[in-house]
Parts: sequence; structure tokens; C-alpha cells
Amino acid sequence: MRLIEGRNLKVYFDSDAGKVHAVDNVNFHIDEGENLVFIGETGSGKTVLGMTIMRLLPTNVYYEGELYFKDKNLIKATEKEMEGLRGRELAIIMQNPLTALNPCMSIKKHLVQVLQKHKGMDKKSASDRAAEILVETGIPEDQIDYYAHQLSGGLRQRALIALGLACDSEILIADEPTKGLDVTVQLQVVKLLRKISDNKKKAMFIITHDLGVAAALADRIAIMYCGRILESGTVKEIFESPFHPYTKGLIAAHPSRGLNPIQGYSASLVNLPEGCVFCPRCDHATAKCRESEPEEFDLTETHKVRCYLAGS
Amino acid sequence: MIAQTANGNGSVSASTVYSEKKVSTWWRKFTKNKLLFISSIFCAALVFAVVFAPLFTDQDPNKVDLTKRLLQPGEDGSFLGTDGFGRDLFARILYGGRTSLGLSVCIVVVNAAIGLIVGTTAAFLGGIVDGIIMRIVDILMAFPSVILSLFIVGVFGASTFNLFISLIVLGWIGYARMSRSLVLSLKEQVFIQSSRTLGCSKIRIIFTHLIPNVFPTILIYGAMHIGSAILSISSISFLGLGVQPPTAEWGSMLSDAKQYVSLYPHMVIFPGIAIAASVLIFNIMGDGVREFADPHAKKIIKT
Amino acid sequence: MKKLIIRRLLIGLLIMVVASLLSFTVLYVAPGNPAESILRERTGADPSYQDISLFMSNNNLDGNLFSKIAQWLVMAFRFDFGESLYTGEPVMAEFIRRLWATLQLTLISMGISTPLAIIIGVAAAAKKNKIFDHVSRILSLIGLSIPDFWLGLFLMIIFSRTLKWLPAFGYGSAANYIMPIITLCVAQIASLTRIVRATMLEKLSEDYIVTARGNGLKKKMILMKFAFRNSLGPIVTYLGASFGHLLAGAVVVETVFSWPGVGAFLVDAVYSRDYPVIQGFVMIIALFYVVINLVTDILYVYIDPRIRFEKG
Repeated sequence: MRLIEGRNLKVYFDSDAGKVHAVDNVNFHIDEGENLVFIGETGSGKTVLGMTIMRLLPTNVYYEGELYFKDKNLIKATEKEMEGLRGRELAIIMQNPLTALNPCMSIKKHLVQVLQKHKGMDKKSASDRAAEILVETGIPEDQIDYYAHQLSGGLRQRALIALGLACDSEILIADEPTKGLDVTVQLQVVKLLRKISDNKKKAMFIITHDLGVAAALADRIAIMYCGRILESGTVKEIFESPFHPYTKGLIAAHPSRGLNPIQGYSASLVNLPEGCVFCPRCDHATAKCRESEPEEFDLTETHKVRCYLAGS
Repeated sequence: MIAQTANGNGSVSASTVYSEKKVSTWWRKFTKNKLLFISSIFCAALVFAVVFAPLFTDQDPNKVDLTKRLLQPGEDGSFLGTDGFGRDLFARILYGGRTSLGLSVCIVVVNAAIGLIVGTTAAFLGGIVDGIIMRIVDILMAFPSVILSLFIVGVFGASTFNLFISLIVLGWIGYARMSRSLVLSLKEQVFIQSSRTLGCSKIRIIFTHLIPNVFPTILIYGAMHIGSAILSISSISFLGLGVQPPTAEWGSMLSDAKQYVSLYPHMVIFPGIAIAASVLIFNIMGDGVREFADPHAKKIIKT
Repeated sequence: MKKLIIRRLLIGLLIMVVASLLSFTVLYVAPGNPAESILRERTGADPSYQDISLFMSNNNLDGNLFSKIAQWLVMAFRFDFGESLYTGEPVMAEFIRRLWATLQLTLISMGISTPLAIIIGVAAAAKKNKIFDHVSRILSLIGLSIPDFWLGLFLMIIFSRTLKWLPAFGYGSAANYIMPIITLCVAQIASLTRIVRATMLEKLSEDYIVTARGNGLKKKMILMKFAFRNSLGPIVTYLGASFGHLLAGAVVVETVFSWPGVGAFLVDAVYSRDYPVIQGFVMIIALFYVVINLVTDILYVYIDPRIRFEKG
């Protein structure tokens, strides 16, 4: 069953400098039990996309297009309806574990509240269940009543993951789950997420800039750049036959593949180049690329790319 | 990342390069901020009226005329009436504004200058110097300043100069705190580090790199405090311990008027409106300036 | 935490010593001879040299360094400032008698303004940029701009002179309290409202608020348990500092309404350079300051778990 589907989704912000298109004409979908990983640089719009599903963006945001959760268009949903969905059916693991937890509340209390709200549990059973979930995610039993500042970085991240799991939602959004963690801890967190996705048959929407994380967790991958999905496909398709010059560049830039950086810098969202957004950095750019933006081309049924090289 | 996009790309407004395009966006932003725009116009009008007081009244604010004592507003050609010595109230309010506004601006400038130098030095030198200065600052921070002012004036006698000194003794502290925290964050930035490696002297770094970078924020903070400076000056003068007669000053005018409160309320009402209105204008302007300023300053100046 | 309180106590002790030294040296740094001016005031004629030296020895204004130090120690430890130069009454007795009148004003004002300001500030932050927020912002700016002494006189003109509802002066009956307390409350509510609103807005922009929303918690709960709970620390700190402002406000208000408190006492003493009274006042304010700071520090420790669980 299709859980989430975005069609021609656009998200833009009003700012002093003008309209900022954080997400532009994006099409994607996640099926039941499937892990979709979004890869992109800072500012590519991947976090905005995740927050759009949760409808947690600031008030100066505008949406166009459609974004379905089952048969509900999330973009049209009222704040009241969203309040019912968040936590219960759409769960999120926030980035920055230190600041994403209330410093005046123990981690268990965070979970207790959510359980009380969505599962209608009484205090006692919510507390028991919260402890259970926290221990399941690997937090030592004697630390479940700790406050965020008392926990190590890895445990804080686990606490946030536990919070995302609290209500057993069908879909879990994880925003940079490994950001700012030590490499060994990163590995543990990835393993934990893998375990969750295997055991609970949860669909996950994972945001990262780490190709390793993507390879470990993804069923399908979408490459984002300047608010667009430039290429999407199964893990095998992306890693073994990348098509878009940017994807190729990303893979080549990975240390294991020789650390060859892509030339230039990501364009500013306020001042996007004409035509294809990647063309100023692209070795294969032609006059056509500078004139108009390519549409999505299907390479296979699952492998899609926005590049004129595919059309010719 | 979200916060950044929401701010419309913090980097755009945080840069300090002023090109022509910059000035025009600056102007657009300025006129768009209605509170700031309107309060600036009022403020300009206020300053104009006070500086060019002789254009608005031909009365001498200090001329005692006992035949014209305690006139009601409008009576005998007097716009706002006269006080117990027959001095024209309107003229006294205008000329009194020179004292109130002039003194408060001076106090803010001196406080800002002292605070800027002390805070910058403390942060830059660090170590023991910083420790000692900041301990003193912490202790003095919450001390009720009006009471200390009263103490100083009480010991050294009531005069405008002592009032000025008494408002400086504690006044610089807020500025010192702020410049210190600004410098501490600047210190780690590359251009300061690099000028150190280039062998610039400490004094030179303080004056050419640190102070110019801290200055704009201090300016905003100062703008926000002109209003409260006017209030402090007039409070102490109201108690009869600040500006001394016959110099016209709003607080001391109210102090004179107090004994007439039940029979001639106009003497109380008009100087009070002058204080409240000008403090309000400066407060709104201070708020506006802070909103106008870049997001960086917004974070540091909280209240 | 024990360490923190001990450190605070030591700093408090230091402040008291400095304050007592400051107030003691007053006698010697002040320009002009108080004995001369006081005698002139009392007799209406220029006093003779004998009169002056007699007055000085009677009031311990002369003496060698040793006796001065002894005098200072006595003053500092016993809180005994001798007799008023003017009335000849013991200063401490007068202070204690008047302190109650002042504390009544400040404490009642605090009790009224704090909850009101918190309610208005929280509501304004919750409805940021809505009409309620704008109105409360403008009103609090106006409240901050009105000089308290003028407000007192203005209330007097309206309620005593024009409407004849309330007595202009006096102390004792309930009607006497109304105008002084309104006068003190206006500025206090205005400034506290601004602080509460600003702190709330700052906390509402924290990451943990997004987490809470992402968990689908109710708006009211997010507002109180997340934003307000975290704003409590700064608010309590500000309340401690504002007690000093209230005392200063009391000085002015007592002068306006001829309220028999310590503030009016101080102003009279400053006029006549009655040094023992000024000395006493400095010590009392310093003591208040130390006690209030200690109380806010201890409260802060209970409010903020980050400090509570620090080592030591």
C-alpha cells in the first residue's frame, strides 16, 4: 500500500530577499515497510521536505501541489487534524538531540506524555510502557529518568529514536539521525534503525548526507539538490549505475572512491541559475541545459533522473 | 537550516558591505518597519522642537513675572499657562527638553563608551583581568541604580554634575557585559586570529578590529536606553536631587508643581506628558531599531 | 549545589563588607561639614567653632583612626548606625518602624503584578503578531514610558481632586493603598510582561518545541510544559532584580503620597545630609540585595535541572 505520495510538490518561503523555493516540483512516494533515503547537501531541501510531511514549518511557508498520506492530502489538512496525526501516525526523529529534548523534562516523561495523549494510557501504564521502549532502544535502565544533558550524545539520539517509536506509527521520519555523533556511535545508531525497520516493518523516510548511512538503510534513494530530486532509484541503481552527473560526483567524492570533490559550490536558493540547477558545476552542460530545466526521465520503472543526457 | 531559510538567508543581511543596492534595500526595510519609521519622524520632530525652541516660543523660560503667576492654559496669551513664579510653562517645557534630552544622550554615550572599552578589554585580555572585571559587573548588575544615585547625590550634594556621575557609576555595566560577549564570539573568528598571527599589537586589534565590529550592536542597545535615561534623570530631579532650579528640566518642573497639584493640575499634566511622550517615542524607536537590526543582534539583545 | 550556595554566601558577605565600608567612609569623603550645616539649620545662625566641635564629639564625627575602625566594626556587626543627626532618634528603630510600610507596598505590588504580567506575557507570546499581542505590546511600552511620580500625581488629580473617591495622602486605611500600589504596579507589569513575552518567544523557537509539536502534543501543553517551564528561570532571575526596582520606585511613590516608609525617610535624609540615616539605608539595601540574590539563586537551582545535577 502506498503510504506517502508527493505530486509536483513545491514548498517556498517568503523572506526579505524574496521567495525562496526550498522544495521545487518534487515527486516521490513511500510504500508500506519501505525505506526511502534522501541524500543531499545542506540547503538542498531534504529537511524541509521531511518537515513538510509533518507540517512543522514556520508560518511564512507556502505549499503547492499535493502530498498524500494514505488518502489524506496533508497540505490541505488543518492544524487540528495534523495534531492528531503527528506522533500517532507520522513520527519524527529530530536532528540535534541535545536541543531537541526539553531540558526541564526527563526523557521518560517525554514518552509518557506522548503515550498519554495518543494511546489514552493512564500515568502508570504509560510510565511502564515508556520504560520498556527506552530500554528496547538501548538506554540503560538506570538512566531512563535522566535529563537530556545528563546523557551522552549517542544515548540522547537513542532517546529521540525511542520518542519516535512511542506510538508505533506506520511511518517514521528520521532527520540526520547520525549527525554530530562519533563514528562508532553512528554505527550503533544505524544498526538500531536497521533493526527497527526489519522487526517492525515500519516505513522510513530518512534524511542524510552520508552515503554509508544510505547504503545501510535504504530500499530506495532520492538525490536532492537545490530543492529538486535530481535522481531517484533503488540502492542498486543509484550505487551501481548512477546516471546524473551530480550523483556520479557524489559517489566519486566519497573517501572510499578516491575523494574527488565536485567543483564549485551549491547554488543559493535565492539566486538560482537559469535552466538546470546543477549546470554551473556540470562537466556535461550544454546550451540546452542553461536554457531550460529538464523534466523527469524514466530510465527504468524505478530509476528516474532529471537530466537532458537521458533524453537525448 | 530551517531557521536560516525562514530568516531569508541570514548571511544576506549579516554582511557589512554597503553597496548602492544595499542602501536602497536598507531604505525599503526602514520604511516597511512602520513603528521605526513613524517613531523616527516623531523623534526628529521632538529634537527639532527642542533644539530650535526659540522658533516656537518668544518667552524666556526663566523670566519670573509675579503678575502672571499660575495662569491657566490659554489665559492671557499663555499657551500652556504659567507656574508659581509666572514663568511660561510651554517655554519651560521646550527649554527643559534641552536639559532632559541632552543630558540623557550624554549619559548614554558616556556609558556606552566606558562599557565598550571595559567589556572589549576584559574579553580580549581574558584571564584574571576578565575574571575580576566580570565579577564586579555581576555584583553591580542587579543593584538598584536609582538608590545608588540617591546615595551619591546625598553624599556629594544635589547638582546636575553629581546626577550625571551617579547615573554613570552603574550605567556602563550593561554595555560592558554586552561588548564582552560580542568580543568573545568575535575573538574566535578567523580574521582576528589571522591578524594576531600577522603580529598586530593587542591595542591595535582592539581598536581596528574589535570595537568597529561591536559598535553597531552597542549603538542599538544605547538607542533602547535613551528612554530609561530620561526617566532616571527626571525621577531624581523630581525628588529635588538632580537638576537644580532655576534651570528648566521636566522632572524638577514636576517637583515644583507638586504643591499645586490640587488647584492647578495643568502644571503637573503638561510636563508629565512631555516626559511620557518622549520616553515612549524613544522606547518605540529602540524596539524598532532592534527589530531592524540583523538577526545576530536580535539574539544577543533579548529584552 | 552546596558549593554554589556557599560561594553565593561568601559573595554576599563580601558585598555587605564593601557596603558597610562605603557607607562608613561617606562621613569622611563628603564635601562640607555636616555639623556646620545641621547646626545652622537648627539655630538659624552661623554656629561657633565650639558648638561645631561639641556637636562633632557628641556624634562621634571626630576621633582617631583606631576609634573610627572600632566604630565601623560596631556599626557593621550590630547594624547600629547611632542616632539621626536631626531628630536624635535611633536610626535603626525608625527604620524598622518604617520598613513595614515600605514592604507592604512592594510586596503587594509584586503579588499583583507578577501573575498578571505572566498571564499577559504568555498569552501575547502564544498569539504572536495577533491583535492581543500588538495591544499588549503597545500598552506595555506606554506603561514603561510613564514616569511613576507623574502617574502618582495624575491619579491624585483624577481620583482625589476631580472624582473625590480616594484620599490623596495618608496611611492606614485600605483606600490609602490603592493609588500607591497602582502606581508601582504599572511599570512593574509593563516591564515584566515584556520580559515574559521575549523569553517565551525565545523558548518557543527552540528545537524541543518542534519535537513536542512533532509528537502531536496539545498546544496548551507545549506552551506550559515546554516553553513556560523553560522560561521560569529567566523570569525568576528578573523578578529578583525587579525587587530592587520596586524599592527604588517605592522611594518616589512614598514621596508623592507622603507614605511613611523608608524611601521617604531616605529622601529627607539626603536633603538634610543626615548621614547615619544614609548609612543605614545603604546597609539595608545591601542586605536586601544579598538575601534576594541568594533566594533567586536557590530557586534557580530547583527550576533548572541542568544546574541541579551539576557536580558539587
